[in-house]
Amino acid sequence: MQQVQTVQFEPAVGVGLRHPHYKDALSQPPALQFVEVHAENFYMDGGPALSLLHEVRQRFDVSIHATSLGLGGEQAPPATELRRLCRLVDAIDPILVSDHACFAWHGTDGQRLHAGDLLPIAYNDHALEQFCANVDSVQQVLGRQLLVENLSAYLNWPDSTMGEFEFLQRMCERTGAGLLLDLNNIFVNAVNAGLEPQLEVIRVIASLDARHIGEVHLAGSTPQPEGDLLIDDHGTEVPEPVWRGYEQLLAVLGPKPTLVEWDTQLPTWQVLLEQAQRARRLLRERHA
Amino acid sequence: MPESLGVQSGQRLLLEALVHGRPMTGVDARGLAIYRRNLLAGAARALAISFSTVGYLLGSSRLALLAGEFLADHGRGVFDWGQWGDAFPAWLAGQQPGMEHPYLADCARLDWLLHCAQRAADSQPDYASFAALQDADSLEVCLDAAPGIAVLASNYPVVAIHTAHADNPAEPDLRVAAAMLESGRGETALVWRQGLRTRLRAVADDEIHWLRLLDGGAVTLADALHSAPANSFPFEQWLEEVIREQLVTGLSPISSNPEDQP
Repeated sequence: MQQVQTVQFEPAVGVGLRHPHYKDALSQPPALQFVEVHAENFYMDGGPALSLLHEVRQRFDVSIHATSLGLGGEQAPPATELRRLCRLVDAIDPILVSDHACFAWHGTDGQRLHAGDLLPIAYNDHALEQFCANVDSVQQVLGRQLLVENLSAYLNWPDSTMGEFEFLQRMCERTGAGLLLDLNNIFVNAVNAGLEPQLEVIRVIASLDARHIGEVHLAGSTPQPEGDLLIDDHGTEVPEPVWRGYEQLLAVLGPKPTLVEWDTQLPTWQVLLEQAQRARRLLRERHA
Repeated sequence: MPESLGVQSGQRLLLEALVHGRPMTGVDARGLAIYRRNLLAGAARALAISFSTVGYLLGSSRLALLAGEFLADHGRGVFDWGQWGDAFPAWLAGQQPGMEHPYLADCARLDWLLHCAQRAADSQPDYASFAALQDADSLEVCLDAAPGIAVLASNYPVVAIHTAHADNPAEPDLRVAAAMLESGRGETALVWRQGLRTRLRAVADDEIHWLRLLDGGAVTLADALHSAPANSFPFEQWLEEVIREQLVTGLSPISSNPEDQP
């Protein structure tokens, strides 16, 4: 695998920017260091959405978060899709580019099926080989480091032979990619597995190499009826156990660029900013 | 998930189970149901965005049901939900709502053209190029058309139906559209982007001949004038109007048209 250039910058705090908040983000004093947008929402050739993103870029640093590459699939992401991502990255010059540790599609043109979702992968040596090859191909096309986010998963493959974070750390070492650590995903998976989520977050943090962490995601999940799986819907404020996990992360791994995600049942822009401000306070306390 | 399936067939089987709503042996049904719900919600959301008029006409719940059926029939081969749905209008024509309301498929076609126009590459008008019209040989030029330009000839009043819903989605005034439907009058719709704004208007019958000028440089100004119907169409006034509307963004000598290059 070839080495890729990594970018170092001061830990910053941002929020996921969704369409209903664009007006507020562009009209109010900038209280954030960066915003994150989903890559696929800007894969068009032109028009008002892209124009708006360029306006946002004048005001904020931007992180581009992709959801469709399917890095854990058995086939490399198609050249056409990589070109779209590359075109967007070239146009926006984001501070970070990321996707997920998942598969999303299968097949070639005409026979391809795309789930439009982040589907879980097996964690074993065979999958690691393919995953690293896919990440490497993306990084070579982009000419920069990719961050890979751990997943909230509602299915497990029985042929996993290693843990999720052993898999991801080995991938980081081999490809030069970074880890986008989503604390809520660890929380959700722990709840659904019947584990004590706080302990699981602490266990995972203790297992990580700080050098691999390129970004942290914080989010909340809507509580589900007893017996149902908890869904990572990014539909509430960050829950207290996740905040405590974040404090633990800052203490053990040090300050990292941090993003608050909120995708469904969107709150007001002000509520979202308050969540980001809480993260910034914690980050500054540790950074001081 | 059965270990014997391996990664390759397991991934494919899982995708097919999700798209077709089939159970999968050895898979946690609760987890499968979550991914299936997400997929259907994504499909419904995508069609509601891309086919807004159809959504208004059918209601969001019915469109969501159709999205699931369309997904099962056509799958999803694209990476971007925004690109998913080009086959939906033709598919809709063969479904019960499309057969009950034959104008529905053309409404969907128009929605898709508007959706595509909104995503088309940007283009700036080249006003300086219009100076070529002053030259003696200026008729040997092609018109540069606006981004996203498309023409839809329909047996139904698709522009009137779309406009009524776009103007007032909650209480559309469909009297004009209903009267046109009643009398069997169709419309030719013209879609384009003026700057960042997607535009739509109906094409007058005597304007249709001249729309060939906007077909990617296939016809020169000289050709269009030479083959013009014998009527009193005010061509110069029309040209001024389409330049003002940014339907035409510039003039190109025919030698610069890529299709004319050897």
